[in-house]
Amino acid sequence: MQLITSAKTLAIATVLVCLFGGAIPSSAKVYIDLEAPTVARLPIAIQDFKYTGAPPESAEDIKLVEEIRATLKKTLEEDLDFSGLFKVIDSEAFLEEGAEAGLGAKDTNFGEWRMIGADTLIKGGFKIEEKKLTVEVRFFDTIKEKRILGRRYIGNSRSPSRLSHYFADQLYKELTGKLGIFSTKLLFISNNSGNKEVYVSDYNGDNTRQITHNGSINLSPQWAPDGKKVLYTSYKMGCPCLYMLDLRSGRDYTISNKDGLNIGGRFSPSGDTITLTMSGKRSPEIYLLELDSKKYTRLTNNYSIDVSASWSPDGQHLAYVSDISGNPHIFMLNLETNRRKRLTYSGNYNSSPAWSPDGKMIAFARANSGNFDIWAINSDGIGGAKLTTRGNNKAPSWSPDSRFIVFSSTQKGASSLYIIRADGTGLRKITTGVSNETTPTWSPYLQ
Amino acid sequence: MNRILKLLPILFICVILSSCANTVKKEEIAATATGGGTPTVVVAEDPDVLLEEDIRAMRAMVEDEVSISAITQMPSSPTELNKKANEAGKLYMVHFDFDKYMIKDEYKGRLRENAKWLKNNSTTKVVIEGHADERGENEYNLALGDKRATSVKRYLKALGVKTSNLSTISYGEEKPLNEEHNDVAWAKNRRAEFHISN
Repeated sequence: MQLITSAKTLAIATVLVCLFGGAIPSSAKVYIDLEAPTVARLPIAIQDFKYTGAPPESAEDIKLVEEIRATLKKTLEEDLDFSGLFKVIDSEAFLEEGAEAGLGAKDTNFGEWRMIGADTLIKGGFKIEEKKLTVEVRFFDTIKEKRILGRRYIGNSRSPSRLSHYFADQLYKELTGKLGIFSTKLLFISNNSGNKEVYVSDYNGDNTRQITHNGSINLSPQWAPDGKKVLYTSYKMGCPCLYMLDLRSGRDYTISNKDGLNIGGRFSPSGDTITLTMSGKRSPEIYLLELDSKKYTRLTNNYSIDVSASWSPDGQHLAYVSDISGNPHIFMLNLETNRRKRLTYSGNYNSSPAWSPDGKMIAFARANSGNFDIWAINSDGIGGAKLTTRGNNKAPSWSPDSRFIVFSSTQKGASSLYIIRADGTGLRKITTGVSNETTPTWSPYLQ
Repeated sequence: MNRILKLLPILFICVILSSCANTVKKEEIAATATGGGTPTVVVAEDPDVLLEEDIRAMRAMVEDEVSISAITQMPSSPTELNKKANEAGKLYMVHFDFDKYMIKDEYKGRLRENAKWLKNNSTTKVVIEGHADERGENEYNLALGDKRATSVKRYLKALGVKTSNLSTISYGEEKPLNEEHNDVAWAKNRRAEFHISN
């Protein structure tokens, strides 16, 4: 197999994927059943990655090798721990030296790994040629003394974490049968530069990058379903207007700049239509805008506020916020019948509904008085659980596998991003390297 | 003279009410939305036609005496205008209750003063900015700021101010006057401001 890659395209997504030594049969054992009520964490050891390239010559090269070695392992550890499916064993306990041992099953003393409780093991090696980083990773069942998964990836040496994320995705799929979310990204707003600008980062806050630089106020970034474009509201032309940034080409398009508000834009699941809130001479109302024909269709019509519409994954419904009943509550609109249904009755303030990608749940932020909490209700409006307990929590957004929710939480005026499991467990802070992050949105699965 | 001026708004209301009866259509919202009273909403076909709320607001205003002061000298530049307006306290800011956009009684006097100034400076273009406090959600607050600015514009229109030179913009919670996080700051930040733009 020949792999031809250029350093420029590598940054985006390279990769490949060679399965060594024959395919794993599709009837491979499912190690982890995600549908099971409680999943015991699978103990895993991740050995230090072995450097297999030409010996580094300069001090700079030595430093680079060590940095990449550390990043590959740390990223994998974080991904597997984040999944909630693995218990990563502290490498202090390891009996076998990573730098010395070979990568094959024959080179591995499985007994030593079993002795420290590692039912599973990851070994890896890497080499750097110019800017090309090649990583080999292998996953073993130490009880069966057998390799379950082996992959080789080629990427840019500037972003080693990307390759670890890819392997984590592959491993997750191998073990659960479902796609992993480790290569997904977050969009969010930060005022780190002095103004509110749009940023993108890996799902865990790594590799943060500012993607708008207009020095104005930028709000509500949203992913296109293909993960290649970003819809956002900006005051850069003086109005609260809607724009679309193409992440590949860097080109920016004006989507809606009518009088009054042009806010809260969200792509339909098919990507050909957006919903947004506009006011003009009316009260803020929810509209559809067909991107090709530029045709607007008004969906609400009243003296109240209607805002923050979120698509159901089948594109048939919108969940949105209206104060028509006196306070902000969540309503659902059936786009075929035009019938409305009120979903929330509790709380003084319900906002920012977000439909889970599997269609089952709607997450939103609710306050009774004072602080907001993240809630999730069934999308038929029945049930409802409060997921957060502390802080002022807003703007929930689901991971593409519907297992996690990212949101912003404010304490003493400073906002940060947090991720929680859909059942309210596993709260963790996301460190992006920039300050005062708000309104995160989780990407779809990215190619 | 004074009596005629007092009668004028009443005549105005009568005209509006009779014209609205013809152009405004009633629409039942097919909402299963309950809990907030009957969701009957009057919808204006023509966006310039006043809504039921405007008419109610104007009925209330008939009880208020509207007096028009003598036309004052127009300063030349916008900055000078802004300065003079602020010095003279002619374009007052108004504040709102949390999550509300109706004009509070205590600010109606201020808006009458603003109306006087705007009538006397009828070629001046003025932007009404609507703002919200930081509580609540970002997009909802943009809508709230929009409603506040629009409420003020409608109130001024009801007072007889020509709205062709009045525009509105919402900044939601994005431009607080007071960046602290307490009741005093929030009360100050829930506001509509006037800015001269020409």
